[in-house]
Amino acid sequence: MNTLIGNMMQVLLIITTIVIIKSKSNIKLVVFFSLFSLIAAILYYLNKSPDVALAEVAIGSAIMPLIFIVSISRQREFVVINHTEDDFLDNKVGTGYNLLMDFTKYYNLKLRIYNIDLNSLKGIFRSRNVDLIVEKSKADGKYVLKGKESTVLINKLEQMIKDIPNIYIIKISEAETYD
Amino acid sequence: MRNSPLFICISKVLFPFMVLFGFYVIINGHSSPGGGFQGGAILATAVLISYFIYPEKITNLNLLIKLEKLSFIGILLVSSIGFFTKGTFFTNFIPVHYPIDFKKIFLIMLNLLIGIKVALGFVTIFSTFIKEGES
Repeated sequence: MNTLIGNMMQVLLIITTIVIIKSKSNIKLVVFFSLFSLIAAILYYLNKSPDVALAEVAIGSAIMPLIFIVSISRQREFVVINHTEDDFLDNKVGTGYNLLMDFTKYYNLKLRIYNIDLNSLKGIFRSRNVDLIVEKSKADGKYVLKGKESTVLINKLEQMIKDIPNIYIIKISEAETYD
Repeated sequence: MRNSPLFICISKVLFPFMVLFGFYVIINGHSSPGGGFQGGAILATAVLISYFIYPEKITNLNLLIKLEKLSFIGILLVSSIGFFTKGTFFTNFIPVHYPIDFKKIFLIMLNLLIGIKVALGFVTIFSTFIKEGES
């Protein structure tokens, strides 16, 4: 019986490791990391070292995920790239600026807006973590907010702008490029 | 940081049991699996969960660091009591011919001190980690 459970746990451990490597979402990764530690603790226990299993449970599946979750939720900056030519994102004037300011204040983030056009977006900045891109669509003159699908923030932003007529949101999955 | 009420409620229910289990692991460390380090880590997890319930609870970090240093001095003192009773450092200070119920006092004392030190150390690391982003 013990060997059966042990073999199953070893297979599960390998599957969990592959899932951790392949997963794109941060929160999902932390949860699977916690699961990995739990399975490892069960294996330690089955191999007659309950002492190590206790330490693994306490540290690997409780403290490390807590630290990871805090560091994910404490991301300080909210990087916005401005592609509109008018005063939508102007300081203290535009409606979009006030909206984003309320949004970032709600989450204790620091709003940072970069005014650059598409062609100069290269070099180090390219690999940087961009949270939101603001554009003005040429067809109907509405403002488009492009954001990553995986972050929790975008869903909240979508709720906030639900009743504002001339803005809508596009969610981009992680693998695509931004432009 | 904002948390959901479900998380806060579950944490409030779990908190006393986690503290109890931590102390259980520490105090029974000499005769069962576990010990100072493991129990201290469990205690630290309990305190860190309480950090999520009341974010303003842990304010004085310097006091925590001072207590950790005091517990380290306590470990050194307990381990050097043997010098006065037996003549050697880092041994059990209770003589050999005593019954085992007396002799395990030494292990329990060391486990308690190590557990407190580990718990305080984890809480300090985590608190500095959280406070770092705040200006």
